[in-house]
Amino acid sequence: MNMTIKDLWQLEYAKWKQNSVINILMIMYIAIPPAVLLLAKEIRDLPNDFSAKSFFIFPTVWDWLGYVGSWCSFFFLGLVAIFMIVNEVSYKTFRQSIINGMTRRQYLLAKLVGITGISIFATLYYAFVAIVSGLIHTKSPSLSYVFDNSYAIFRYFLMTFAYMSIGLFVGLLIRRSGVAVLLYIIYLLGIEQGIKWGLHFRYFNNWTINFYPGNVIEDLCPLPLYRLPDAFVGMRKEVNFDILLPYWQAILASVIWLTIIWLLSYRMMMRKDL
Amino acid sequence: MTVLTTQGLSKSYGKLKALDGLNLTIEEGQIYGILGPNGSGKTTTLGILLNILKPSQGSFEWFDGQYKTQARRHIGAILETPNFYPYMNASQNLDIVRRTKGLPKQDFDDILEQVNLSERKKSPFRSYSLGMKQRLAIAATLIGDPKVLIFDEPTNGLDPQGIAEVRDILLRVSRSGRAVIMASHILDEVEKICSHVAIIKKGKLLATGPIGAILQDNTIIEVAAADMGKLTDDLRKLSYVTDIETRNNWIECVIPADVSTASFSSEMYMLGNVPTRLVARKRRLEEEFLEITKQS
Repeated sequence: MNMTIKDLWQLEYAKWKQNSVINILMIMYIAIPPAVLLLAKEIRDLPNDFSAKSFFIFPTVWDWLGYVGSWCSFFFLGLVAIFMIVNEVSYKTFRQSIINGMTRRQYLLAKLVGITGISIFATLYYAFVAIVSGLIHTKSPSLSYVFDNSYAIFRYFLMTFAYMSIGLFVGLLIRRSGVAVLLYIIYLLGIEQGIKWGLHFRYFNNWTINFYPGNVIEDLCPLPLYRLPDAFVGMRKEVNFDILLPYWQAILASVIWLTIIWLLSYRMMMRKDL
Repeated sequence: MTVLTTQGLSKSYGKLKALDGLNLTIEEGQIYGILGPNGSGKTTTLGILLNILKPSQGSFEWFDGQYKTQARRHIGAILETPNFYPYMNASQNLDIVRRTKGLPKQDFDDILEQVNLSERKKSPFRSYSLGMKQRLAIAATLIGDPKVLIFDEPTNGLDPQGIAEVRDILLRVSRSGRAVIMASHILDEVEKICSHVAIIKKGKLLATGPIGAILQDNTIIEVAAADMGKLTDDLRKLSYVTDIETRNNWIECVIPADVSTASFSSEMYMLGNVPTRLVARKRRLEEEFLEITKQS
């Protein structure tokens, strides 16, 4: 009678299999990164001796594709996570799952398993596209060259898992699809930026500005241009901190935020009336 | 085995007490009706018992605590509405319930047959009528051979044919020897199906026990005669006659169970009243219910 991780995964999968919204979002996630790569082929060389080739070749393809994927994860997979909860709230199958015998802990665990599964799939897909692109475009790639920088795969997984965790948290908190989706997007694109640049930048012009949840997740797979020193020397003079976190700090801060988000989700799940 | 005990179960929403110190014991095989007007706390009670709502105070225990947190796997329950995935068909939805209960794969032909849904088992849930949705919900409660069935207002919102179908199914499943808990504001339904009843109002338990005990044994007499004035006076003279009330064209009164209708009738005749109407009936739950809720 006890449910294994496999049982929980199969239960979640059976729920999405025929859900058109979730299927469309997944298809978008799958279709867009290769489409962006194909579009990028049309780009001629960029200023500052920057070669558009770096989009496709090892090892920089990991960074570029990671950045494209981070937008797709933020948008499509974040929404998948929100719909995993709010759909069930609106069908009332959320409460029916508990009525039918799942414990509240099991229900949240099933969502955690679902999110982890999708994050693993999303990361493998990212690695697959990166490797295919790299193999096609890199001249005589050696195996070590292929996986140089492949540490990006781990950061990518953490990024995807983090966006989905935030999506699930917002879904649990708000429980109405429209409002939850809006809050998720507006927080990450607007509110956090507003706090950072409006308030924080003015009053606490220091490193703490980088440690907002949206920002640390973004810095797991950032726009690679930022890594080019010349690109923002000017900016650096204005503020007395690095605009981008070193990876280890972004990873550590993400893990801390994720712990907080999951603890809050667990608390909500265990205490709220459904 | 005791199926359910609750102790001082309470639920407040701010100042409003939706449930106020409910104590109930339900034993194996009992068909328990929770009866009360709308908003009396029936659904709140079931919500707490099914772990959907958190009680403000008090506690409850299923099956003497033998299954701990897994107790709900041995319960089949409908709360308020039939809740399913609209894009899945009947079989797929039942399979989700089966997985949710952690049960091995099975086919649902037999269960769907019991609720007359076999023909539509491949249609998506969203295409169902309310009656069909409710019947699918009843089918879902039967998965995994539960020890207890819980139905919350099972015929609410259905058309007459739907009500008849659902009641028919409820009668059948409630004779399977399982305990059944049914919340309803429809007395007729409770009277026809239940062996026991708990009457609640404004979150408080007013009466509970076997239906026979709640239903008093007194006989209600409707009587009319040519001279209604004299009849009334004569009725007042008899010490065992109580609750004399004038209705449209007759007088209604109550006589105790140990006085037969025949002896009452002959006594009236001897006093010189020739009855033009004489009806003897047992008090119905509806009147009992009004009586009990009036007192509080």
